[in-house]
Amino acid sequence: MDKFLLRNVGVPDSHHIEVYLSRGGYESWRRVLTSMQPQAVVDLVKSSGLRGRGGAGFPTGMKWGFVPQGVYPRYLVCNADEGEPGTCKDRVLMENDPHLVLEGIAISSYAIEAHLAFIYVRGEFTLSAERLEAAIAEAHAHGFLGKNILGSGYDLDIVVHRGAGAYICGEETALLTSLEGERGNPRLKPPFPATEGLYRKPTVINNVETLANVPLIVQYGAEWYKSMGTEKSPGIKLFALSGQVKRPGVYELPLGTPLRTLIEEYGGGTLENRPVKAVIPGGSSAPMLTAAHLDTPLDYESIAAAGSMLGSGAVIVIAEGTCIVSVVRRLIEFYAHEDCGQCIPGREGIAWLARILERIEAGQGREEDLDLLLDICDGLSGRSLCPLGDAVVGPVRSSLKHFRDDYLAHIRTGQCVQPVAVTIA
Amino acid sequence: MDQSVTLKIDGRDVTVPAGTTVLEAARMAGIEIPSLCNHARLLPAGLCRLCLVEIEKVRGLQPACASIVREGMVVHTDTPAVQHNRRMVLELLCTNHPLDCPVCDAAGDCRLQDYVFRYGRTTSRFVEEKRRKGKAIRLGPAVILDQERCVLCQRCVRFCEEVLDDRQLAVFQRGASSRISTMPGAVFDSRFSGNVVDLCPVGALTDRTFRFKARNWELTGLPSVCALCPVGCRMTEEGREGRLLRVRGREAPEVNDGWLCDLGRTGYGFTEHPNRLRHPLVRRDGHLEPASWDEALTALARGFGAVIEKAGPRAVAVLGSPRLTNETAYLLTRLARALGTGNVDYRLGTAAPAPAQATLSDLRQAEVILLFQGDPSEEAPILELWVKQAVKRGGRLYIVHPRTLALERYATGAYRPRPGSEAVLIAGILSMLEQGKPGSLPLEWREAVSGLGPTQVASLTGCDREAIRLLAEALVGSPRAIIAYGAGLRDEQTLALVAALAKATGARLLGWDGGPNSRGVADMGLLPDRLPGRAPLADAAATAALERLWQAPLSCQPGLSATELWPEMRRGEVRALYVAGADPVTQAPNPQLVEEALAHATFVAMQEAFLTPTAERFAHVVLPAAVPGEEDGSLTNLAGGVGWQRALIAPLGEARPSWRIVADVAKALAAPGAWEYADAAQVLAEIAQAIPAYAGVEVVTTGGYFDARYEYEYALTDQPPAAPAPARVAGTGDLALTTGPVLFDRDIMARHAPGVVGRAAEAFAAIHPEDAERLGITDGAPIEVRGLFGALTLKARVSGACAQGTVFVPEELSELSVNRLGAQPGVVVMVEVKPLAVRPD
Repeated sequence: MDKFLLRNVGVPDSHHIEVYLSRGGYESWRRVLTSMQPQAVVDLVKSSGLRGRGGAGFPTGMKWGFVPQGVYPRYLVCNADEGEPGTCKDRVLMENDPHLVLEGIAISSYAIEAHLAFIYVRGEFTLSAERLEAAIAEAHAHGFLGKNILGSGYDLDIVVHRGAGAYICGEETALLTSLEGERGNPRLKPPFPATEGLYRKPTVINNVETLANVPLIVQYGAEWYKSMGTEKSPGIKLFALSGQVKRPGVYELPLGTPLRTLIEEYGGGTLENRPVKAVIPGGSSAPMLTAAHLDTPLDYESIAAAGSMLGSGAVIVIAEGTCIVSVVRRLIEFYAHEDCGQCIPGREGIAWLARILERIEAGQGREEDLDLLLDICDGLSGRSLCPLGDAVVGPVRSSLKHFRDDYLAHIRTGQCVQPVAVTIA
Repeated sequence: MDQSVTLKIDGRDVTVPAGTTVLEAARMAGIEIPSLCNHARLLPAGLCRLCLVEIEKVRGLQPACASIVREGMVVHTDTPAVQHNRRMVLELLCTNHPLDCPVCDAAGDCRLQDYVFRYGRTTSRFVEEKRRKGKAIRLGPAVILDQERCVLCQRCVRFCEEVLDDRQLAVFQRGASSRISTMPGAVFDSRFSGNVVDLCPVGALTDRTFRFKARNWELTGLPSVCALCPVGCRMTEEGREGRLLRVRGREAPEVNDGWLCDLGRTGYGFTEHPNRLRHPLVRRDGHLEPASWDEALTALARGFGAVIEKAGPRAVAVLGSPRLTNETAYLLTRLARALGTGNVDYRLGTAAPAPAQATLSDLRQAEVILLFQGDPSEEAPILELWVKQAVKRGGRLYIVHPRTLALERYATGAYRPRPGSEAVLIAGILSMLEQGKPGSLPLEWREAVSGLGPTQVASLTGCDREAIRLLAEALVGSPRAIIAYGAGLRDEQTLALVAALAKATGARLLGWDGGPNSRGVADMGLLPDRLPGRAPLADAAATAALERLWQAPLSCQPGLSATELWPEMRRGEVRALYVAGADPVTQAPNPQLVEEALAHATFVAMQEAFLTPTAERFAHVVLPAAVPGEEDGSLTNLAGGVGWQRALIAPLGEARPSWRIVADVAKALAAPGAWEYADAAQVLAEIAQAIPAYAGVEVVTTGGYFDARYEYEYALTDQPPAAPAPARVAGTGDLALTTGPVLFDRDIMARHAPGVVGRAAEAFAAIHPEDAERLGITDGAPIEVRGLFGALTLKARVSGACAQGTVFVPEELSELSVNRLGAQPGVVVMVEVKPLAVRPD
């Protein structure tokens, strides 16, 4: 199919403004500034049905509408702290097409009447941050940012802020706290960022990919956008395919494409053509699916109906022969390491899960540990200070549901019976 | 908004004010929702997740501590999910908790322990090895941390952030490795550090002086009032088996709102000091020797009797101290007046307080605060918190002080008039006000300040003319302005001007000096020219009422002040002196004169807890007095609030309560009137009769707060003010001496408390970097400061906080007679400062 989000990826020097302009870049921005009121942009995005691509899938236009009337200043924050294991789609955009991201930020800032936007970039993404900073300088030089942009009277500055290596800062309130210069701890909601966010002012936080869709919607229209995907999950999506597949990578597909198509046609099938054992369809916190779910369409509703979530669209494929206990143990170790430590369920619960899983993997497990794992999950899910608790329980609960035998084998035999104990990073 | 909201909690209708949290609403309805991190005086944090409840129509469990009530809300605090959550959170907390209750200070008073009993599982499913963290970490001089017991509720961290605005504690690392600590290499040395021990819901933070001393269930406690500074914080004394072991803050919104400074918290260690006087002492053959009370009182009666017989009662003088309780001061006043002498005072280089017009609650809500020659941080610490709170709420702070204060970063304006020109600054503002709005001053004041134009004031004080105008404007412009003067204001002239400024601007006065109960002692009439209640001696009605009450004729002759006393004593006009709680040899502004005078005295008797230099050298009889914690008595704080200090333990050895000693002395001297009192409360009841503003004060004996603010003429109506000019200069050096209290080295009592020893800096003198360079002085080097009556060897502290051309020396330093330098009210003393050679070794 035609590429839209990735249309410039692979073009030589695609990160430079000259290339971007030569391929029609900033035309949407020009059109918005010259012919659209902010509310018209909000309405356009609302009618396109665009949903947040960071993981929650919340309708973008509706989110913009939560900003209270008459309260200024407002801020737009681009969440570029892409840290969920398996997820690497935003990085591709930032490194290869930073101007598309900037154009999306500019149009969205205009829509919510913000004059200052921030891009919070994952600390490890050095190249992304450098390319964004260079692109901002180019955009200023070309008059697409700064004061009185293109003579419209509208001002906008964009600031790149690099994270310091904490996964939790991808959580929006932690991101704001970090952006304010504090330790990146999640904070209580309410107040929600839309009403009281950065510096206690109304703040809209959107994912990189979400924002990158906006210039396309302006360019081609809401109807075009809705013509792709499904009714409730319209449009296009980047899927970051990883795990035991032949061609891992970032693929642009309409929502609703079957999981099997992504794995087999785009990913070239599994390594050594082993049967699929499990698929994590939306980043490491999404519950695991099994080979029985391969024909599920990749859209928010279908994946939810199958018992998981589309999340960020990071699809991790696990082939037969792989020890699920090992996979889950590694994932939970990650979450235990990245937990902020503020709330007791998060701090003590995740660490305890990790230690039980380590013990089971090492052959020291007891059958009652499986109920204990589920009970701790009940203590985490919906009860932690931030959504991290919910992220953690996905792999644990789903693996116990679908792959209980892997656990029991460890417990009963005292060792791993699978040939591959995988370390995924 | 006084709107109320009705909601349903566990089926019960509960009506609470709008804005209340669900947790608080439940508490008001008598329903306990457990929480570790929530604290009434800190912002909701939602960290512990123990308070999660079900709220109908809201998805998932919600934190009760951070959920605000809404009309018609339906809350369930006892559903299976809520119970599961509590069980789980508590089990999680215990997974890595050491469970060392048998040796934990908090046992018996521990939230975690209580909640596990009430809501937790009886067994743990945790079979892993417990995580190890730091034990017995000394965070600072007062607080010790056990990181394994810590539940990371962050109350301590939030206290530092929200209340102190000084982030000395923080969470380090993350996840399960999270731990509380100071910044690397830093020390938790806040003056308020001990509060985190009170805030800690478990036994993670312990008090260095209390830990391992007692189990909670063995302690008995009494609500009391701190006697160590003019704030009079409400606190609880706790102890066992005759020992006072711990002091903790007590809720009292009108005073300290539960917080205590570390001086108050750790200062009561003096009760057990080995140097305490345990027996009366009588001088025999030049030596003070132990004696019985009968022997001592007989010797005292003989000594005073002989002087009165030979030279009349006016040859007797009584010197009290701002450390005395109201009861002791009142009885001393009564004793002096009944004996027929008016030579009674307590002021050694300070001015009697002007009326207290604002409360501490007013200070917390003030719009404009002028802090005049006072440093709350060192002199009345809780006020530092209240000033910060006022500023946080949008109030503006103006500071007039010779040094840069810690509070200066909160100030809208800071003024550093040349030493001795403070009165000129105030007079200049008065003159400015009179110019702006003629007639705002009484006639005599108008004349006094009329010569002071803005240009002249600016040149005399060195302060910017426009800045002075802004200060005047701020004071006039706000209905909630407070003029707070502190211990640096010692002379009555300047204080009268400050009082006039308050009157002219409508600002309210709040003031203190270095003494904990100066206001109470002055109210009790321990002044040569005033009766109890500040009535002038000439007030016939007041005199008659007192004579009826005391059943004795009163001496209404004005007596000698504590300044006038010494020359008269040296001349032999005053021959006998009774001293209660004061140490004139180290405290009076002119120690040379005091020593000569005391050497001339025929008879000197003292009541004191420790053997002071004055007692050691000059007393003929020394009576051992009880200390705070051992005696009941009322104290009147800087805002006129009266509180009741309680005796938790018996006086050490044969020491007696101070008020009782005065009564015993009165009986020994056969002073007219009745002197039988069953207890201090009876004396207080009499005070309520003697002083109109104290009528009804007895309520304090049951833990109440009594507002004894009243108006009185502050001096100088009988002596029209002279046109203020820069103060007289004495001394030959080239640096102007400034002085003032430092919190941890200010008083003979607290200096004897183990928890306080070591918290004060080594005896120091602070000078400006440029003066230091000129004089060849480096930071930390030994220097000599030579003043009017001698020299001190001190450690140099080179600091830009000290104005150029000045040197700051704390007014009391352990073992050093700082008064040798000769600081005195209304005089600029020029001292000589020079480096001392360091021996090369």
